[in-house]
Amino acid sequence: MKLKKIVSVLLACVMFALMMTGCAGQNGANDGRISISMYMWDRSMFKELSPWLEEKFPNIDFTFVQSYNTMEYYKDLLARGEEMPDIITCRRFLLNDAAPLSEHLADLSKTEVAGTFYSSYLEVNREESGAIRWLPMCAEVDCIVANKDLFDKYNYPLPTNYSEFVAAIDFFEEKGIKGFQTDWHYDYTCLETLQGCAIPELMSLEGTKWRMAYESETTDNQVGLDDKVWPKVFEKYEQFLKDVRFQKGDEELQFSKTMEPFFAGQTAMIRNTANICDSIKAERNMNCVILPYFGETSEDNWVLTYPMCQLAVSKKAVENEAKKKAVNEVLLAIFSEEGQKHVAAQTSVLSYNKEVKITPTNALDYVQDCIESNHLYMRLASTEVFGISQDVAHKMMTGEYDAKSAYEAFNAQITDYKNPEAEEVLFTQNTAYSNDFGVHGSQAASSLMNTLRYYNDDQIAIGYASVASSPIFVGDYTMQQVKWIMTFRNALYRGEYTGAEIRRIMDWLVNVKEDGSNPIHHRNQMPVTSGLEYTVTETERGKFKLGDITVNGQQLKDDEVYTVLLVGADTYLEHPTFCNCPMPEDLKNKRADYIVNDFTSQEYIREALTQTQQFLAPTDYVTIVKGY
Amino acid sequence: MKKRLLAILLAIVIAAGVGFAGFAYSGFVSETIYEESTAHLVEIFHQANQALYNMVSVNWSRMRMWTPYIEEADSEQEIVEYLNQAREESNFTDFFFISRNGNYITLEGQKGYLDLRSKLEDLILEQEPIVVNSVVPDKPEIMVFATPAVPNVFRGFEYEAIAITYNNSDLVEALKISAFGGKAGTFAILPDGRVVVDNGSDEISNIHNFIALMEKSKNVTAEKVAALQNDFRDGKSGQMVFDVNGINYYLVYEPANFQDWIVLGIVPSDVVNSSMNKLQTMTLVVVSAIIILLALVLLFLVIWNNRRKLKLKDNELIARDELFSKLSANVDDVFLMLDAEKLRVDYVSPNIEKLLGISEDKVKKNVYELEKLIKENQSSHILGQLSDIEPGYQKEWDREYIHRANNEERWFHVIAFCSDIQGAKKYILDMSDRTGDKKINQQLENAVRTAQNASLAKTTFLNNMSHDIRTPMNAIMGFTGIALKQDTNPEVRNCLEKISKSSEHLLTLINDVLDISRIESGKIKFSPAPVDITEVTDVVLSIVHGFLTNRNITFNSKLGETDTPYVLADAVRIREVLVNILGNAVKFTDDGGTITFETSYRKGEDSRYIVVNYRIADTGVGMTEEFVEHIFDEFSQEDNGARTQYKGSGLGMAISKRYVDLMGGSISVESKKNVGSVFTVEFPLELTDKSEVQTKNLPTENVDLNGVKILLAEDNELNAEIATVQLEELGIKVTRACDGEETVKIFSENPPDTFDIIFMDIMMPKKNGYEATIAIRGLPNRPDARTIPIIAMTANAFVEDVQASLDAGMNGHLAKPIVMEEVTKSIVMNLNR
Repeated sequence: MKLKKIVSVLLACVMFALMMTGCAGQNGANDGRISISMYMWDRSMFKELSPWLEEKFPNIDFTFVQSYNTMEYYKDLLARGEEMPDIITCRRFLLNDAAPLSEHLADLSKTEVAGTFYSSYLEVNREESGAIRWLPMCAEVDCIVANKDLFDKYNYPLPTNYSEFVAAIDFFEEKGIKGFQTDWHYDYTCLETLQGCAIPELMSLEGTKWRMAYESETTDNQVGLDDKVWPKVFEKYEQFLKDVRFQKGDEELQFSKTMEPFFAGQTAMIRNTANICDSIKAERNMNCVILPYFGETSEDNWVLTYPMCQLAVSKKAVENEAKKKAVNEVLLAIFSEEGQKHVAAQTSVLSYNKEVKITPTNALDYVQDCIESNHLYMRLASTEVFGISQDVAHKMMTGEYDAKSAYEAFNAQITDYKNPEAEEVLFTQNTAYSNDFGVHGSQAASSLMNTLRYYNDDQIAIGYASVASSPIFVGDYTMQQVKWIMTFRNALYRGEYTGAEIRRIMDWLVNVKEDGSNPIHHRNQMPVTSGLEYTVTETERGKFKLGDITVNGQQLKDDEVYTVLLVGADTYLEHPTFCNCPMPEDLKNKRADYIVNDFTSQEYIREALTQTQQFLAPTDYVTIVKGY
Repeated sequence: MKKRLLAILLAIVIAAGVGFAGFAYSGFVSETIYEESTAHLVEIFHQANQALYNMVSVNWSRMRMWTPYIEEADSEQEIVEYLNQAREESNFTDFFFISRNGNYITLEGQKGYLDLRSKLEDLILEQEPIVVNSVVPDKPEIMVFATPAVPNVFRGFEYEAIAITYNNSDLVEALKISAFGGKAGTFAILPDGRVVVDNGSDEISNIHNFIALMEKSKNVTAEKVAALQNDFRDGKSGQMVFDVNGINYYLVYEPANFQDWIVLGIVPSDVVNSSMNKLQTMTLVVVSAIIILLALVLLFLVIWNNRRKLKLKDNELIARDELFSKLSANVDDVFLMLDAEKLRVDYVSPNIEKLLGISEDKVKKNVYELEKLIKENQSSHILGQLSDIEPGYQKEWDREYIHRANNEERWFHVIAFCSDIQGAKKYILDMSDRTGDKKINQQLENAVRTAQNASLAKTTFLNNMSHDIRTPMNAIMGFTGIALKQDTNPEVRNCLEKISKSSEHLLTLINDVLDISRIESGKIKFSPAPVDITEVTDVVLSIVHGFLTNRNITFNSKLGETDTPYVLADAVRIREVLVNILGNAVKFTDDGGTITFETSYRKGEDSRYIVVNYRIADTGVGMTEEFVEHIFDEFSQEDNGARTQYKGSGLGMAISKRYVDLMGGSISVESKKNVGSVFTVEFPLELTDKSEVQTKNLPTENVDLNGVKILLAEDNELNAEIATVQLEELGIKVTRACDGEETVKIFSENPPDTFDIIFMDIMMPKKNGYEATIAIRGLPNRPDARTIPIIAMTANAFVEDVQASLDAGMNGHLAKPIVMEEVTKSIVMNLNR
């Protein structure tokens, strides 16, 4: 009896120990799903990266939001009381510009993913404290894109140095073809052409010395332009503008106005990225190649590059061990070879990571020498340099500045930069609208579409996908802040459509196509409508089926004609790797291109708000139900 | 139980001790192995690291050596040949001529840009040799060793410095160690853990950040990781153990003395410890075997001991079983154990058949058979009430059962206990046969009843005796008194006076005999009432003065004073005691003698009491010592011939002693023959308030009772005549009724105010005095019937008789033989005259 008792006690002890071991084994396991919010600087990241991540991490609930290319956007989010998203990305980067965000971002220096980088690329992002908070995504090549077909047509060789580049321009100009043109309107074009035409100077000992001093400047110790290097830069730029035959008014040229002649063989060379170059080749079957920024000899040629974006993780996201683990896994995935390929979306990029081999496309054949000789120039991309470059370059273009006065103006601004768009208050918003996506969509997106529709006096407005980059806050809005509300790179179209056609437009934007193409990878990418309400059924995660459509609560009438404002970019919907859902031709033909010439949605919302002085109240434009 | 607990505790302590010793030994061995192994590793990796440092130093030396040669070389071809040879010796990857702006040209003429960042400034402007990491796209990370050179031109390329590069992995070739059969890994990392060179082993390779790897180790705490980071940052050396995928590794780290690199050496611990582990394993096997052997022996001992104890226990149980079986068969208690859930009988003692005439089997089959034996008129049965009992509690009943076999009535006391026996609720019933006790009790009750009846008979006898003697005594004394009041000749008067004295003496004798009897039978109760104790003394003195009439005795009284004379006392008894003693003093003191009476008061032990002390001293005949010893015995009289001279019952002092004892006091006597006696009496008396004491206004001697109308209820002719004569002498108009019924009739038939007072005999035919009083008091439409004074006049003279009279509704009580003074007082008191 006693023995039995002892045996029982021992067995109980063993059971207890086993249970404890079991418990210990389970310790730290998290059965619950983890949510990660990831802000993508540009819609291009939605092309392949976001669907790939969702597929790779089925246990993570991602929320992808299209944000902005500038650090100022995140600073504004924090200033408005928003929390830092879990993962953020940003195109325009300088360590100094990022300093105010440091306290909200995690130190990634001791993570596994940081170890995958070549040290010399990562050291640029190391803070004085030793922390590394920003990881550069693969490098984008942004140089001169030549229509090789055109060169071949005229049997003219591709230039290999600056004099040959100028000669080529002259040659094509004589043929009535624009030798070189670009979208001078944009600040990045100004910045890149300014720096690109004088890279040997900027990469000289004095140039790099100055750059390091500038990148280390503090608020109290602002660094002006170097007086040996930079005057030459402006002199070369002055000459460059002449050599490319810049004409008065070209400074207003925007993307499409430069691309259309290029596509049409009316321009021989443009400035653009290898990414665009590859897209053109793929979509238009044009043989485009990347040429470098030319120096006096081919040995002085340089390729201008910059990280496609920089990525950071919020401090809060790594406070929880389970989430920290998940975030680290996501980061490792993004910076793996497969991940970087999805980021690049089959375009030519250069990797900063040791174990990533991305074979460049043929577009980079003509800059391979530069790449091999490490003539890769990383653009200087501080926020102020963007702004000043645009201002000074435009004034050089219009003849207001010569090289010397441009240098002086630039030098004056760089030590005391004030962004005029960040100063002037346009209006004060009285009501806040969340950008959280619920069963009735996003309030902020609805408010934006309602405001646009109201301004344009259309019956219906349809945004192809999420149009809000941030919540709508209560308080003052400057011109700059207005820009950040609406997603970038939307085109605006207007057309008159019957009810039946509108149903087809919605079908195009919502329903999974017969070949499996899906225009909505994630529910917050649902179309945003104004004046029109619709119901969708989520048949499975990320797949939707269009239901009823009403116009202001009344049934949509098939035969009635409505005026419709369409807001979105065909490019991505049509892109085979994104969703491969081109708009039916008959519908596309019925829309008039840009209702206001060359207006982007960003500019248009600014115009609208100048009138309304308020983001209008949102409506329940969509109802999502679960079902089959 | 205690022993068992101790044994278990001892076993646990021994097991814990063995376990602890095992752990301690294992810990000691592990620690020793760790120390030995890491010391070994540190030495190996330090040598490797030193080799790296030496290589770097050699590089600098060589580059310093190459510079003048390059400057002075006759041709570029010479330079190329020289440096190619140097490359073979030094194993560097490339040789670069570096321009002012950081561009380079190789010996083979390849040109490019070497990103030296801020180090370019140090090299060119500060003319300092530099070491820097750099990268060329799609190529392994390189380490650049550059030193300034005299500006010159190579293949048309203007240069100001020269550099050699190593692929990082090649550089760390120096760190490779052949020990441990290729299972050792070498890494070069930066202080933040980032791996610069991965020269890892098969198990650990392709890692990117060593800190991130350590964070995944289960055995390394966050604090240890932080400490490791600090060591890396501060360039300190150290060693530790960590684990990856369940495998333990030794880690040795030390600064590389080169850049800010830290060199790590990692070897699986089992590789390092293979021989030591073998020794440890062997030792553990041997120790384990010994422990197992010991455990087996211990187990065997435990089992043997348990079996032995089990056998003893079994024997004990068998003995207990036998004992219980015998006991239960022979005792008059039936034991049952019932399962609480279904009242199933688990056990019933075999004597049930003997005690209740029902077999064990029947009860086991159905316990309710027992209930059927309970006598029909008994209240609620037992089984139905069991569910009310909680474990640890019990309930009891007395029940009368009918023996099924002989129909005999049997009394049982049933106790039901509720117990929780290893989780099962059980009821244990002890049905104790109390039939024998019951019968004895009945006999005792009968005896008590008989005794009570005898006592009652004695009381009745005494009462009757008292009544029956007093009745004729009343007549004798009454008529003697009446006769003495007549004018008779001296001889007759003399005879009458002798009759009177003899009657008084006889009455005293009778009273004493009755008193002592009543005291012994407990009939006399101590009845304290609020009194002024000094007044008691006054009354006693007035009585004694009567005794002294016609005597030549000097009587001295010394009366003490007290501020607190108001006490609770039985004044009548105290008076009787004092009068008895003083009476004796007068009786036994010859003329010419002296009697001294003293009173004094003192505080009692309790402040609520005073003690009153009476001292009576005489110069009388005194007593012998022998007699003094028996003075308080009943019927004790000194046989000295005095009896003829001093007549008494021999009960006076006995009664006095009983009274004093009854009242909690004390009485003592000192006496000397022919000298005199001293009696001392003390009573402790509880103090009371003055307001409680009723001052009696005694009626004056010359009260006019003329015209008072009395209804006299008296069945005895003689007593009626005496009373009538004596009352009429006072001018009272007397109407006689012969029995109780007539009394009621006369009263009811006469109008109110016909009578002022009723004197009521008690023992009368038809209706006794109590019944007659109740009937009068209850007469309807006669308000005066409830207020007319009714005084008992009876030979029933005891205290309980007085109380019975009052209880019946009478206003007072006069004992026969009647004393006219008392009669007068009673009339005056009740008629307010």
